[in-house]
Amino acid sequence: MPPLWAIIWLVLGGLYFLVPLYATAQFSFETGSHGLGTSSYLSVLQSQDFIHDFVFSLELAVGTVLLSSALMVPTVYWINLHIPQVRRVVEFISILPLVVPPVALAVGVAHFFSFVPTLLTNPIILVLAYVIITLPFSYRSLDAGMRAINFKVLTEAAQSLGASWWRIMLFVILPNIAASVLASSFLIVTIVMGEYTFASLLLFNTFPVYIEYVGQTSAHGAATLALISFALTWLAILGIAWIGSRIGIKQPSTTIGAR
Amino acid sequence: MASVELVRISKTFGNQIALEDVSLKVNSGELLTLLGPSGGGKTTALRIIAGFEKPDSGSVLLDGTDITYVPPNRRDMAMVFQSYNLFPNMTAFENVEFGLKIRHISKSVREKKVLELLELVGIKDKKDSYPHQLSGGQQQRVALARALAVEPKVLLLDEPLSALDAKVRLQLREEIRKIQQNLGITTIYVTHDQEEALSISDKIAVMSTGKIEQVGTPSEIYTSPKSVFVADFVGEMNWIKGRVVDDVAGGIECNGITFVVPSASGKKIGSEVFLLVRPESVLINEINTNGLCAFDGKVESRTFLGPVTRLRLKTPIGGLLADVTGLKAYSLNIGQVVSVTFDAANALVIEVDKKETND
Amino acid sequence: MSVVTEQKAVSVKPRGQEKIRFRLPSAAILGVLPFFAYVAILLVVPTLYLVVGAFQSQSGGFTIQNVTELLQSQYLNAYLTSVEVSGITAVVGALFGLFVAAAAISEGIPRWIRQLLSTFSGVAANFAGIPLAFAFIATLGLNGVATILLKDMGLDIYKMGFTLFSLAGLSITYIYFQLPLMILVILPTLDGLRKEWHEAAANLGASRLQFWLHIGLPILMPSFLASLVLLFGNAFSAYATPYALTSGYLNIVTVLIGSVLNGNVTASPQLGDALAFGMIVIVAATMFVYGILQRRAERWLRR
Repeated sequence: MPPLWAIIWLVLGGLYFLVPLYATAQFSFETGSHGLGTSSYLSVLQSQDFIHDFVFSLELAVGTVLLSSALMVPTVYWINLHIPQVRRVVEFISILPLVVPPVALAVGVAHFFSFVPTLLTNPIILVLAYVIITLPFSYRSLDAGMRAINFKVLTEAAQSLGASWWRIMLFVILPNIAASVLASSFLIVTIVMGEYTFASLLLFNTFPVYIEYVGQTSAHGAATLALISFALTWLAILGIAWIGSRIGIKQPSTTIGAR
Repeated sequence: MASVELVRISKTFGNQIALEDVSLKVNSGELLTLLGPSGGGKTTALRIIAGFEKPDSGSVLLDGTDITYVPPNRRDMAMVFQSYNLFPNMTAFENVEFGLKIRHISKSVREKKVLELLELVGIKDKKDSYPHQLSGGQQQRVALARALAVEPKVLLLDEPLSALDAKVRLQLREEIRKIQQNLGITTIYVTHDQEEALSISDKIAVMSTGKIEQVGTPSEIYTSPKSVFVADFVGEMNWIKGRVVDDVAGGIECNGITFVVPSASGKKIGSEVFLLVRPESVLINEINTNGLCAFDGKVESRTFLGPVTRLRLKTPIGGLLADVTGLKAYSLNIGQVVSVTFDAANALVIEVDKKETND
Repeated sequence: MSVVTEQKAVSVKPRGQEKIRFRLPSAAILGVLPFFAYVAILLVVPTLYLVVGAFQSQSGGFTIQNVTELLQSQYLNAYLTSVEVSGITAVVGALFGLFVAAAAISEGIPRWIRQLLSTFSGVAANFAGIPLAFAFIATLGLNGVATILLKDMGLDIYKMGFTLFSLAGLSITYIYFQLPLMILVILPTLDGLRKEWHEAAANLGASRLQFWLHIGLPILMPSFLASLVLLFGNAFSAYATPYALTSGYLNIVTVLIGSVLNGNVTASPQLGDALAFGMIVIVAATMFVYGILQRRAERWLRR
């Protein structure tokens, strides 16, 4: 029989978590004349601006995933394989983005790259920045995955069986890393799809920026979009959890977003 | 000190039967070991005695009093855990002191007792060290002192040495036994290491799949195993398959050779049995073979084990293991033919169809 | 003519006294060069630029005037408000999270609740930002679902002076991502605490209270404090949520910096740099303290 205090706290926690979601859902289904319907959803999903901005965010997310993977996977592999002495330095670097909040980073980037105005108006700057913002999570995820597969031991075992470097990379390391890369990618997508600070300060129209814009005039529309955003995050997290359960490697928890 | 009794204890976890109708008595001042393979139920039994699990049915008695539903912190027992479970935020001294502190023993009395115990377990010089600064063996000593500090009626040890190096294990088990005997404290010890069990126990209860196979002194368990499981689990054993041919004098025939085995008398003629002989009872090139049945065997392999050399012999009655010591071992080579005997009169007999059952 | 044979001074190091050099295979370093270069260009240099800018005057010379200007009431106010919100939500979030997490793993609670809580916390921690702000507007806004519900029950919170667009409102909203963050961070710690020491203590005769007093809380404290600090840093860095919820009503450092950057507030870019610099200093200090506490916590919970 569970103790009373435990039940009380779980109920309180549950209420606190669920009431805003319920309220958002209710708002999203309210039509203007106190009825309930999906008109808000329909109008939102058909809006050109929504589609454009949502797709834009998706593109940024994919771009970030690609660039981040291209940068981080070889780096993590290299460090683990050849120069583990550098690990502490790299670990420290990987948490630097947490010390420089997105707002501050936006200021720094805006001023530094003001010499190259065309760069600042090109979406590529967002991708470049997002790789930095997601760095703590992509590094930890990939590194954890690499070390969890007992990298060194597997490599040595494969070597003692006569496998060449390429074989090891392709058939031993990469398959195991693939799952970590996938999990890390989901994480990146979640973060990018929710990132507001950088995008708005550099005057880009991403999905979160769009939500804010809609919210200025329609609380119901914003509620609809918020719920959609929430559903997407759920899917991503479930995806990560599913991957984690499939391969048995614990993925580091996600604790950042556009706050 | 106190006696502990388990009366018809049964426990199931989900659909796994951990203990099935287990009854056991530990006398005051005795060290009883629960011996068996992993999953055999011994740790469950210990935890039920300690109060960390409640049995589905049956009762636990302490000095005759039913304590089945008494919470663990009021049973007046102390446990030494496999993973030491020392409190990481306290030094060795503070860990040992803890039990006394919460019993509101005065500071000066506490201090004296703690230092005494730390000295007893041989770790006085480390009294101000934290657990993470101590080795496994040192931590276990602290754990032992901590358990003894509260002067429990019963001392429980759950595979306390399995996480330690071989040498430390040997040393510590002797010390534990010595301390236990000096204090005369009723102790229940759980292990899967039969050598450990044989060396320190007053009594051993061999357990397998939730049931007690046999209870007896170490020598009883070793020389007179009552079931196939016990015979197989404890020590090495030669299994010679044969048929009863004489139910009066106890004759067993195997591949043309007949052994006179008194313990086989009364068994049905024609029934298939196993003749059980310990490797150290198999004698090689023995000069004095009066009354012993001798036959030839060929040395197939030699394994040097340190104190003994184990030979695998090919004989007319099957493959046999023989443990030979010292000088004799050096003179035997692979392929050599030797004369093999054993004292069949003291061998054990177990019926073949009893293989899956117990007692 | 004498042939002078050059005598090369050969210094032979006696055996065994050769210094062990830390060999960094120079070729291997090339492998991580792209990473270092990337971080340098997109993080380190912009940050340094910002730091330098904080100490630059309009004309380009060195000055600390920007920084001292931060102590002026409107800017100082922003810092204080940010610290206040971050502090409150850190403490509330930490305690709330601790109790909920502990509840989820206590005896008698089915295992799936813990899993559900963990997964949901992962989602909720990411729900922060714009969507969260609007979710709370839908809940506690003037026409929010909860507001109306309370009104129907006789409790008109807006009449009583409450508004979502205030420090209190912002704090309540912040908790939505502080709470799950705490849960995620403290669950593994509580796990490490659960059975072993509890059993050992009970075995030695300790009651529940005695366990918590002597063992549970002392062991938990470093982790708890570390999480508290983490929550503080987390809230302090928030931009999107306060922006959507308060833009203009409340003076928060992050929103202020954004306003300076966008030219919505008349202030020199150098001042913006200074504001950002001040922020970085605070967050860096937070992370530093967190690191120390975390290492302390790990030491005890490591086997």
